[in-house]
Amino acid sequence: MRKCRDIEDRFTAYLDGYLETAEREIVEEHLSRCPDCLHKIEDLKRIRAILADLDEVDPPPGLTAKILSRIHEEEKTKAGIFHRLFFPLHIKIPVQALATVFVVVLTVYVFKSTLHETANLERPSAAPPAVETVPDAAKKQAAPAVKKEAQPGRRPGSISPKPAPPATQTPKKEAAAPPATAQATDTAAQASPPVRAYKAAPHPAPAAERASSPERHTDDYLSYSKAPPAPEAGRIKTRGTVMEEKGRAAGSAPMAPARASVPDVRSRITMMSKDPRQTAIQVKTIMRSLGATGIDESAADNVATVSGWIDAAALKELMARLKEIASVDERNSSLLSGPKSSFVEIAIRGSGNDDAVKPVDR
Amino acid sequence: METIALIWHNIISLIARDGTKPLAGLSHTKEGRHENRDEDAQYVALCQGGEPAAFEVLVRRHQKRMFNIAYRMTGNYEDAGDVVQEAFLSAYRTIKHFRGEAMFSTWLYGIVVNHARNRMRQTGSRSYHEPVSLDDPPAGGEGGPAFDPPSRQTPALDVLVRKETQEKVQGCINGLEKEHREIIVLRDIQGFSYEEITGMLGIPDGTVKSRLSRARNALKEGLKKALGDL
Repeated sequence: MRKCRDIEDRFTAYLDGYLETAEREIVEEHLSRCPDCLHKIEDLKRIRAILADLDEVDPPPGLTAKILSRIHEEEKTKAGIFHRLFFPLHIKIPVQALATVFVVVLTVYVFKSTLHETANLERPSAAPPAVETVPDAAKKQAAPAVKKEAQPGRRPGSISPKPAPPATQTPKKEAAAPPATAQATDTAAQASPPVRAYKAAPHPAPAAERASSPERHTDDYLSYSKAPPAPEAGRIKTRGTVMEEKGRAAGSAPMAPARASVPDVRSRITMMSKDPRQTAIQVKTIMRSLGATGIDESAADNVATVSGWIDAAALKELMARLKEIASVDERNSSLLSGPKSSFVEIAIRGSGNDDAVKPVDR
Repeated sequence: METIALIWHNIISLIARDGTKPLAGLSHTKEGRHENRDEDAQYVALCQGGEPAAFEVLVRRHQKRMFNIAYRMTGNYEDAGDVVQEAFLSAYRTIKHFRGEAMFSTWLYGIVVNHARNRMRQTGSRSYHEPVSLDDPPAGGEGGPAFDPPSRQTPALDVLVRKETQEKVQGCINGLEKEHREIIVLRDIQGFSYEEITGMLGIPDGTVKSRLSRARNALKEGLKKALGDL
């Protein structure tokens, strides 16, 4: 019985011709002796014969056409998908590349232009003196004129950032700002006229005249303050820098709002030269030789400004070399060295303006 | 010298034919398939190279066999047509992935088996629960399958008897479990080798053998009931 089951298990392989000769012989030998198994295998053979004899069915006549038309449709939609997927790709890649280049260029341009503006605008080191007192601020306006006499005594006061460290954007300073601005607005009434004089009359004599008549200055200021919003005027005064005012007056370009991104360390040097542009070129050469980076130059009416990042260690040498080429107004200069590099801005004023300021101070 | 070579060649080819000759009842010799494979490969390569017109040749070449596989598996003439269409469509979509490791026909028939299997699942065990009605056999011609008559000379009565028997057999196949159905169709009706079935169904050789054994025994019981005596 067990033998029969073993043999039956091999029927399939036997019938399909998948048995080795030896095994086939075993099966055949068993079949010759076992009528039951022989009967079973005869049945299986008959079944195989019946199945093999089943007629082939003809597919419906239109089947080929249907298949081909569906494939044709597929091809069409595939082409559609292909187009939708890849055709725009040919355009998209250049467009994206172009957009990227545009964004990069725009970023660089905006960065450069704002760097230039902030270089002209932001003078955190000048802020503390501005909020001191009116006379002090007035003196500062006249600084170029008194630079030689005042140098030893006043320099520490005007340069020192101690009263309020520059550009420390702490809430504390923010809180202190409003009163300072208010005070500065008062100051501005007196402080602005000499500055305005540069714009109105670059010649020494009229400027001196205007500086000596306080009422007119006030009028000047009022009329001036009408044009730009008052808070801005106050803000400008808070900085209390002659150079800035001059830059504004001369450049006459509307100023960008004060930026929060004032460099932490910023040195400012004011120089006097008969030919500011020529001196500016020399200054640039010196800065380059000292390894300065991001050197930028701008020129306004009678004032040339050179700015750049310089190694803190090279600041003193820069100062020394600048003194060689032209006189440095140390009262209006401040040297602040940062941990590594320092942003330096050198303003070269035409010496003609010195004459204009000198009478005011005296 | 030439004569010796010719005789030698004939002997070799005779031996080769003997060695590959399958048992009686199998409609396709291995040799024949190798030929097909070579011919298919040419058109397959064209299709893969982006020549959709070459696919038409493959459709015309294989559609009848595919239709028969589908018909015997689903037991339904209309379903079989749909299955073949879907199978060709998916073959067309995926022909680029065909690496030529197996015969193209094996790959293609594997697809149609898969689609037929899905169709059987969709229609549920409709045919399983509804065996073919012997009183109302599907009409040939437009409504039902058109069988190739075995011979034009066969008397009309014989044709009718034969047709009836074949429908009963199909009914028995429909009554089998799906796994048994497909293995019976592939092996005993279409005559594919175990290796080919292994490739089509993705099952090991031993499983083909054991499944076939069970399927045949199940069919034997069914046919005995349907036909009375085998």
